Amino acid sequence: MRELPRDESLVRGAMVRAMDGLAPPAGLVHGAIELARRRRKRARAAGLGAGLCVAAAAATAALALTAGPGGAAGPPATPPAAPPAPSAVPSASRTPDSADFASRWDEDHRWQIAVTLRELLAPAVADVTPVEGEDFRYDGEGQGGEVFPITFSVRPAGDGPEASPCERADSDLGACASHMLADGTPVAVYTGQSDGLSRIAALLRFGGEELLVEVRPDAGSRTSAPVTTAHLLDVVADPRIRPLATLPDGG
Amino acid sequence: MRSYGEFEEYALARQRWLYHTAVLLCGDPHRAPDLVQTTLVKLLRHWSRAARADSVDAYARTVLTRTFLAEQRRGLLSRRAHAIEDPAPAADDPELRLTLLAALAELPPKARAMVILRYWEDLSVAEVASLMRCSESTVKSQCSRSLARLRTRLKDAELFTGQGS
Repeated sequence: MRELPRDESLVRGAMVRAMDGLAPPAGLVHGAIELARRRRKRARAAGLGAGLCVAAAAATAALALTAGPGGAAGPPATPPAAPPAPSAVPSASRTPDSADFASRWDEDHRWQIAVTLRELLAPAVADVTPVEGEDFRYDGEGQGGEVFPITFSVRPAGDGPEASPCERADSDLGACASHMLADGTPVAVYTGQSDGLSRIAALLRFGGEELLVEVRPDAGSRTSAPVTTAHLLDVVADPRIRPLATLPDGG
Repeated sequence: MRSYGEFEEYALARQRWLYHTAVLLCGDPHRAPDLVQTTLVKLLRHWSRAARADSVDAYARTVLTRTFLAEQRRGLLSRRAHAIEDPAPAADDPELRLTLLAALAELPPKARAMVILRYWEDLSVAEVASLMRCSESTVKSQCSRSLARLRTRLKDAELFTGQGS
């Protein structure tokens, strides 16, 4: 071992003496294992729920196409008899007095979003977790441990048509460029800088809702958001995204 | 599941070291368990990769330090993630511990992490720079400055010579 200068040696000695006899609390490891198991279970359930939503949406679309606008007379296309997902998209069964259910639904829904974003943002982001207490905020963990704040927010779209997705250009989000998804949905992609680091956001409207997906840089490690415009457009075009883009109150 | 067993064996053997490093980093024996648990959860999630690393301890140390810095940035360390059964036991040398933790708490989080990695974990300047993703000259200057501040605080408390408390 190297010979330490006196000050270093004294600080090191003080640390050793200060920690001497300080034992970790009981249950530390088993608590972590239990927490990891719960998170894994929740993530799996969320993934299953998101998968079932997409499958149900695809099956519904297929039935509608089969019937066709002038198709054979028959009963209107009905949703397939898929088994109810434990955390599927919301519902009439959500009553005002079911606070526990609502809370659990919100949490499950946010985990569905996190799992889906993790899959879609890989490999730029290794993991995505909801930020406690902030409905629209997620943390994307980079491959090197960076933390990229992610926003996945939904709000009611304003009234009236828009000439260009950039007509609502929000200067806070940076420079705007108009894009169009394969299905014709216009998307505004904003690129900007925060303290010299790149950030990116996509804003789009569909149905009665407006979705913002933003990835910001990790200021601590001075790392720009690791997502390109093409990657972000792929994310918002993915069929798993729209079923998740519902307002947190189920609206 | 086999990986749980291997992980549990490792975590039980190294929890004391992780806890001590966490206490020094976050400055509070009651908040350190949250930091250790978050670290262990991340370690377990990536256990197959961590177990193949040259040094699992180095992997765990990196996760712990970066989790600490990330949570400091987000101001999350005051939130309890999971209930712990027992509070920390009474200190053997409470005055030294309180003074040292208070002195460390006066350092900015990155500087504190550098001091702990350098003098508690006994990493080289190059190893600290690599883990903290900064230059070696930054590590040297930060550690030198921090050491001077710690020396002043600990000498004021007459704890440096082991005569205190």
